[in-house]
Amino acid sequence: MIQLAPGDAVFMFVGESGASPEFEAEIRKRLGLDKSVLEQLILYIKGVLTGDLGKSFVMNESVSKIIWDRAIPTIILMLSSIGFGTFFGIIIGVYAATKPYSLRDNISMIVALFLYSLPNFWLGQMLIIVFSVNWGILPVSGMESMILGEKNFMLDRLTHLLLPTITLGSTLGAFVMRFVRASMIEALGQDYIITAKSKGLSDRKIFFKHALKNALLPVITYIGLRLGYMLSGAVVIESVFGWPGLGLLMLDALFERDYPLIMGLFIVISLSVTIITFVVDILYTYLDPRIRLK
Amino acid sequence: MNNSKLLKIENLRMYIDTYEGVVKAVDGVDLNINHGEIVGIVGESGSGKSLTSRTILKLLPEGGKIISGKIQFKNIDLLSLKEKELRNIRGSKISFIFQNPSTFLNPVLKIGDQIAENILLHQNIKKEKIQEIIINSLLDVGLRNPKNIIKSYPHQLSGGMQQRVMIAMAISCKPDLIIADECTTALDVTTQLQILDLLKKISKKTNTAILLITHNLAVVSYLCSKVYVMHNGKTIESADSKELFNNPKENYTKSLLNSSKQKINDKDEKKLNENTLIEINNINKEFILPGSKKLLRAVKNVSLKLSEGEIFGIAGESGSGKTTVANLLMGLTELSSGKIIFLDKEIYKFMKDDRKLFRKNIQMVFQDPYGSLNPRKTIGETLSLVFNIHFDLNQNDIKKKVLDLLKMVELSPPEMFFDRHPHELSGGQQQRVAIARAISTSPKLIITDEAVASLDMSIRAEILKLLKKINFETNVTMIMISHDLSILKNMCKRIAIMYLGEIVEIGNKNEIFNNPKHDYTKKLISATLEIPS
Repeated sequence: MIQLAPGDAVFMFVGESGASPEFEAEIRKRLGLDKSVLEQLILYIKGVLTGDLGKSFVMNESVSKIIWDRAIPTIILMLSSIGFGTFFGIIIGVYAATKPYSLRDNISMIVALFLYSLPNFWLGQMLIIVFSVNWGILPVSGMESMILGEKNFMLDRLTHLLLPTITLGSTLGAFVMRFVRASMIEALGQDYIITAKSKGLSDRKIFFKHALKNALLPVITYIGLRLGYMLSGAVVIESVFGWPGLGLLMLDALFERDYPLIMGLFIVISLSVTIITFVVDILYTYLDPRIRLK
Repeated sequence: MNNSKLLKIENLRMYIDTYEGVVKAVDGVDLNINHGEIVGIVGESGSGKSLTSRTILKLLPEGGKIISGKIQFKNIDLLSLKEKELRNIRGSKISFIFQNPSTFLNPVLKIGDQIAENILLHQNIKKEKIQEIIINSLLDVGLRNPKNIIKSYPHQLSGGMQQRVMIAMAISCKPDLIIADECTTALDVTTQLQILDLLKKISKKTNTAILLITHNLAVVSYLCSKVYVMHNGKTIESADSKELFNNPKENYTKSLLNSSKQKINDKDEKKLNENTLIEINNINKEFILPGSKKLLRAVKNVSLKLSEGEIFGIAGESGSGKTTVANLLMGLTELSSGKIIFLDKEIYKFMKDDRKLFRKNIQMVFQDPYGSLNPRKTIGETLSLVFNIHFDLNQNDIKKKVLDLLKMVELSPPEMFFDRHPHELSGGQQQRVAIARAISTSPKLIITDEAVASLDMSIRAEILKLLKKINFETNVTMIMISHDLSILKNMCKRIAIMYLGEIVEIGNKNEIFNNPKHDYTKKLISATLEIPS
């Protein structure tokens, strides 16, 4: 599929000025591009099944090693975004659900609508303009700065992490907000809430002990499902913020027609989404006693 | 027994603001309860009995407002209390037991935690001692093995056990008053009796007053010393239990009593011909339980023979296999072994040869009428569909047939019902439509599966009358499946009692009621509560 797209790896290799046909042919052979697409595919699948994702054209290093090195920043970004989005999503969602159709509910829902309608890359750029360019309190891009570097390692990383996290997490947060609200309102209409009230529990206890635990169950599945979207969002966010993760790597690989790297990234990303979904399902059985495995 | 006043309600009114206007849910209730007394409120659904009980502790529905009235509990004026002060009374001085324990218990919290919550909130007790108190209250409500129950979740217990847990929760703080809202309605008859006896025992032992809310007059007569009758949000009559049943004053009370007794004329009992319609020969049905390799034998060696025009009853508790038998007869699940012969043909062969004819001849009426009607189709469309499938008629003839059907099930004027949607009809009317659908193909056999279980007493009596009339006029054979022996007693000539998948006793109803042979039948009959007449 990628090979159908215009552009050629060899052309990227030799550069604008061009090279002699013999040299081009030699490179083609070295990269394995002289064989037919089908042959290449069969060879590649053989490699994948034995755990070998091939070698990057451009970086001349094994694809698995490259991906592994760049995965950690992405994992950090994902985790912090999920944490950020879930935390604020739940808090605001619960807050909105305490009084459905009230002022606070309407405002929260308008904010949510606004947040998930905003394109990620635009929000990212706006945040950069405000916090980094105008106020100059947060770094513009990257993961570490040259000057602060070693001294304030944690602080440095955190300040770099802040803006991408907000950007990527806000969409998730907006979805979680709406989901938690709907789920809470449903839980609050259940019979066991009347039981809890008849016991004389305070509203706060009813909310957090009886309703929230039930309401969070579908939210967890939902967040698991959103991870796929978030990974694709990470591609954009990482390029906006120059975050050295898988997303940026993918973008570079695409521009350079680095076929093995692109394929490797696709495989690793789809595999991890599958695994995460599976883990969420397992997690669910621990949280909901009704479907606990025997 | 201390005979002083515990709760006194005067002229209570609670209205609910809804989009469609004000609903006068509670509209003039007067009520007195003494210490240690068991008092009943009876009324049909929508009479405001549950809302009255919740208004006592200001557990109001959304939009609910107390308009007037006075509620005196001991020396406290409950309506003047602030929310925080009310919370101190809820669960400690006055506690609730609700109808459906499976939805009223929180599914994700352990039983022990749910009971402990109540105790921790109202009593100053160290955490170590709590376990002991919980275990004792679970033992008090007759649950064996309380240590395991504390650690389980609600879904791991049976309905009866869940209701016992609810009661344990309610008595854990030694309240003065327990409000039991339809607390046995969702339970089997034998379990119902156990729970009622338990309430009686608790009330006697601890001098706790109980306010029992129910639509079931038999339950009231069994348990209560004093009864209030509610209708349209008002208490219209109150009397000592015996007095009320022997000498009701209000017309509404009289009609309620009459319909509850479900007396149906036996005079028009017709003679049955001897033609066998359906013969069930030693059928078995086994299921493999999901998640384990265990085999569940839902139906064991059941044999039956029904004559044309007979009304036959199958009684049993939930899980006894009665519905599985119905599904097997309908050909909805496959037999594990045995044979069913319907109209001289083996049913699977019948279905294979002529599925249309088979379906035309066996029809079913289900428990939940709303769930069995397509909500998007008008009544006319639903009923016409049957004629489109089974008969070759033009549109005008079909409409005429449908109107005839509606007339037959006493929905008048039929033209009006023709264009209505199911949600515009009451439960009783919906069930009439479901019956009309069942008889529209002029079947040979109609199976009713708990067809009146979800209906109010007065409507229930009307539907049963209608079924009897249809049986009389069309000579259709009926199999009535019910957990309620009193219904079958009035409707059927022969009854089979099912227990754990087997027919333990079968025979003429008089024989079964007067001289039950099997132990289970005896138990079932003694657990069936009746209104004294």
